[in-house]
Amino acid sequence: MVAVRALATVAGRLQRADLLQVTALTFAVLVVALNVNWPDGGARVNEAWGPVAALRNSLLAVLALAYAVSIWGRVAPGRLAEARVTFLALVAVAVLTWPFEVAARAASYPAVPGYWPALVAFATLGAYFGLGLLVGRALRGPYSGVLTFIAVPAALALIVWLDVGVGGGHLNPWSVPSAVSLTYLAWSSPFALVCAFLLARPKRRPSVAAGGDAR
Amino acid sequence: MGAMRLIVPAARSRGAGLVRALALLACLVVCGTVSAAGAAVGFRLGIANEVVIGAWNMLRVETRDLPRSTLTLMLDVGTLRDGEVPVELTFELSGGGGVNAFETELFVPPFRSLSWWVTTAERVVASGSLAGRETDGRPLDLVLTSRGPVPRAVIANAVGGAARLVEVTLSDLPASPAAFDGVRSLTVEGSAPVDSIVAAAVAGASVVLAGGREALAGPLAALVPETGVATIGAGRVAVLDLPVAEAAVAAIGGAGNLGRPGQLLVAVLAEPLVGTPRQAPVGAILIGSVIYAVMALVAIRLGGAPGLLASAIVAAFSAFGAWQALRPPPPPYVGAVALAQVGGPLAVMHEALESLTLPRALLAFPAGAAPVRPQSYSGSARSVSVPTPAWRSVTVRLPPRAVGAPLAVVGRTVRNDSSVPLTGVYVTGLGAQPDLAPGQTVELAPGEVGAYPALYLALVPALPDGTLVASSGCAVEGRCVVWLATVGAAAAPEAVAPEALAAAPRPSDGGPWSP
Repeated sequence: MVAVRALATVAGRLQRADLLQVTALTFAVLVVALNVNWPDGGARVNEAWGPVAALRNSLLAVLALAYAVSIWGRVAPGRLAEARVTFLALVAVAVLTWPFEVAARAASYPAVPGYWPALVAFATLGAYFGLGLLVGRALRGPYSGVLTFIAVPAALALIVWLDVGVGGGHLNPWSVPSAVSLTYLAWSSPFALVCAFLLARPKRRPSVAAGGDAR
Repeated sequence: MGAMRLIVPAARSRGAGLVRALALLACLVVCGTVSAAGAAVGFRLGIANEVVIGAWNMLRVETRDLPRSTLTLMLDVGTLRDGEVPVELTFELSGGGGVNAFETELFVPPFRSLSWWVTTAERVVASGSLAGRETDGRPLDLVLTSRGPVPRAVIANAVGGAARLVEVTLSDLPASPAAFDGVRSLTVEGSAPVDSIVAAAVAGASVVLAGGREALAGPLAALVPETGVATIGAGRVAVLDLPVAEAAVAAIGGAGNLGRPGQLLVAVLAEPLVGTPRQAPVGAILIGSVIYAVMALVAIRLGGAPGLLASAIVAAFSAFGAWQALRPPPPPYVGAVALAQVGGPLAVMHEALESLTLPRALLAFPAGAAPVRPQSYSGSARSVSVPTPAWRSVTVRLPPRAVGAPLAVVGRTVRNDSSVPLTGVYVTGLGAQPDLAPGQTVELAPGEVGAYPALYLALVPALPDGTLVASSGCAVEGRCVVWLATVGAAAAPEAVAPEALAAAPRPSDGGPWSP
């Protein structure tokens, strides 16, 4: 019953206009990426998997970061429940976008082992959601709504800048699916743990002063 | 104290002298050891150390009283535009007392630098290098004489100075056709090992035995019929009663009947040996992906929890279906072709392999293989590994080898002596001929000109008229062998005069059926 109730909650979150539109947009982007990169007209080489996997992972990272900052930056009751169900909804989006990656992978024969893109998608979701929760906590206040629009691209730009600084291909979600990288797992694990810790903790009683979750 | 002052320096002086003497002795011992170690390795690349670029060359390394050691060759086959393209070859050298020799054949592409070193477990015992600008791509003209020096000036004047004349000794001559790949002619005065003579002729060299039949020893005399000329593989052996200088000139003039088989192999490789797997049309991918996306969104939007569950199931089935429908068979895809030039009972076979990989991979080939296009690779006595990017193929050539001739040409008649059918029979200048079943004999007759398989497309224009082209094994085994033979008068020159040898058909000459 708990699982069915959780499923219904997640389905309800996915049905809400914001996430439904974002999911539709994600599907549309992946459909276009798959077909644009699919060889046609006598081309011999199928390298569709690279852009599709990179795009899927990057979209998941952006969605996780943006939703986490937006939810955790708010001063509103029910923030924890909202974060939990949104995270699970994003996991569902990751599952539903998997066939695009599989179709591209089947024909492209990339050298990366099959477990890696699957693992990296969930690691990316957890890490960027955790990072978003931390950024959201730091921004929480009267201007958090505005600052979210600045903080999300700034955080992504900072990660790309750091990635370039350490040699490239180990931190940013675009290049990570193309090669097994323990550095990425090491980098993403603390943020994923933060995500797990913040989302799995029991709900606190609403305090009068905070008007919702304590942190 | 004064005596002490006098004694102590004297004692120190004696001690210092002793130390100097010991140091000198140690230095002599070390120098002697190093010198002995330096002489303990002999390295030769090419016949008589003459490397021919773009051909197979003999590599011989001799070690003397060395433990088990490793020979490493490092070539840079890059260009100014491509930068460094390293090729690393490693061979284990057997050790122990006495002399140990290691021999193999290497295809030497144009290179910028070549360095080699021999190492034991402890140290480097010998090393050397060769710069690309010191090398030469011209074929060798070998002269083996037991009666004094070769009159180089006479030969150079007679052939126009273009010959790369090399005087060799008996020990310089290898016994494998691959080692003679870069040899245009071999002139022998006196005795020579039959194996080397046959290997040189099979590889395509024009071999002339100077001094007439009377000067030949038993096995050599048996090699050449009374006519004085024997066609063997891609080359020939002729006996001429001439002094060595004139015999060498005749040998150089009589070389190159069909062109080098190794170069003709490149013409066969104009078409890829393996095809990439067929891709699903982009229209089908578009329709499939849109249908899936719409189904998933509709299920989410309208279905609630059951819809989400259904969309997850649809995702799983879609992924499975896409995998089954779009996944090509597992690589590598391998194709092979060989080009063999028939002469008499033997043929020289040049083989090429092409391997296509879909993921990025380290493609493995048999030992001795060398990529046709300059690229980085590593090799040993066991295998050759070529790092290859995704969806790319690598074509390698294998060392040429002697094989039995599957067909015999007698005048205008061709007989299939093999156990497999010869298909796609075509004679340049005469036209298509019927296929030859095993044991069948046919008389050549004018046929449809230009009606030859696509495999010959780049090959036939490079051949002189009067060349028979046939293939075997294409349909059944997927390992095509293209056989070349000279038919008609060109197959067995009756004349033994040097003029006749030099007048044998060349690629540019007209043949018996030339218009």
